[in-house]
Amino acid sequence: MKSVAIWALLVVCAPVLDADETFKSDPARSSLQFLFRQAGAVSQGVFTKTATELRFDPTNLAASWLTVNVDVTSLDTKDKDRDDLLRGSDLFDVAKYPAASFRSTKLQRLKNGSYEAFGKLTIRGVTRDIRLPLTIQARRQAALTTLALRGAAIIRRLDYAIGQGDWKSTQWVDDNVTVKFDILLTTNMAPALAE
Amino acid sequence: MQLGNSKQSWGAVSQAFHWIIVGLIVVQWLLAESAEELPLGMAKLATLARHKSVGMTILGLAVLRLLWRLSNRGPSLPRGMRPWEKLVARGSHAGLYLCVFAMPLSGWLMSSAKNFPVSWFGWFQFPDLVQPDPGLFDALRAAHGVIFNVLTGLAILHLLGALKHHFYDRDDVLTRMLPFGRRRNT
Repeated sequence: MKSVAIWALLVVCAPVLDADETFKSDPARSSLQFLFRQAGAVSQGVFTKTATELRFDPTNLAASWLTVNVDVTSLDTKDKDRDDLLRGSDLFDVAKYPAASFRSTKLQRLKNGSYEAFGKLTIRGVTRDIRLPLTIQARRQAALTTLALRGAAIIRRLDYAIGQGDWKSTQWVDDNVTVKFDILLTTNMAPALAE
Repeated sequence: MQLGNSKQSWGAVSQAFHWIIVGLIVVQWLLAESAEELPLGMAKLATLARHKSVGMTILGLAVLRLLWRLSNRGPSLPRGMRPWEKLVARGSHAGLYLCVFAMPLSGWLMSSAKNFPVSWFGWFQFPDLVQPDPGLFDALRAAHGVIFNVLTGLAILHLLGALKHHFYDRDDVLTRMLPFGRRRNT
C-alpha cells in the first residue's frame, strides 16, 4: 500500500520540464536486457553495469541527446559457463572491446508522444547507425525529478561481428537479438527544480 | 494384430508406445553421452537441444501412454505367480513408469534452472518451471543422473524378468509385447 501511495504522489509532467538538464541513470533502478534465441528457445541476459545520460528539453529537442555506456564484461545470463563463453574472443571479445555505447545524433518526438533516437551504436569495435524507439516519462516528486526511459530494439549480432568461427552460423543462435531497456534517470540539479 | 489390448496380449498401440519409448531412451542416452564429451560450444548446444526435444517427446508419449493404459486394461499376470513375484512385477512396472516421467521432468527443471529454456525442435518453447539458480541446477543434475541409474536398474530387472518368463516359466509374457511374436498356448 505504501508504494501505491508513493506512486499516487507522482505527477506525470513532461511538459512541465522547463530547464534543459542532464539526467543520469540510477543503476539500482535501471536494467538493460538482451533476449537471444538459441536452439529455438529465447533466453535472456542483462548487462549489470551501464551508465546512461540524457540531456532532455522537450521544447528544444535539437539540444537534447542521449548516451548509453555499457560495461560489456558485466553481462549476466545466469550461467557462468555461458557468460565466460560470451566474453570470449569469438563473441563479445571483452578483452579487446570491454565497452559498448550508444550516442544519439538526433532525438525526435512522434505524434503519439513517444520518441525515437537516431544514433551510433558501437559494439565489439563496430559502429552502426540505428534508430531506437523509446518513451520518456517524467515524474516530479517533491524536489526530485526523474525520467523513465523505456524501449526496445532488434539488432543483428552479426552486424557487430558478435559471432566468429562456429558462431557465425545462425542455425543454433539467431542473428536477431532484442535489446530492452528500462532506465530511471535523475537529475542532480533537483534542488533547483523544487516547486 | 488389434489396436487395443486384449486379455491375452498387448495391442498395437501399447506395443508401439513401449518400443518407441525404449528406442527414444536409447537415443537419449547416446545424445547425453556425446554431449558430456563436448566442450561448451555450438556442437554441445546442438546436441543438448536435440536431447531436450527428444526428452519432451518422451514426456508427451508417457502422458498418452499412461492415459491409454488407464483406459485400456492390459493382459493380466500369468496364473501361478507367487505373491512376492507379483509384487516385484507390479512394483518394477510402476517404477519404470515413474522414471519415464521423472527423467524428462527433471531435465526440464534443469534447463529452467540453468536459463537454457526448452524448445521442441525449434517449433515452440516450453515455459520455465523455476527461476535460474546454479545451486538448484547442480542438485537437479545429480537427481537426473540418479533417476537414470534407477531407470537402468529397473530396465535390466524388467529384461531379466521377461527372459525368465520366456525361458524358465515358458509363458507368453515376453511374446505378448513383441509385434511379431507368436503366442504360446499355455
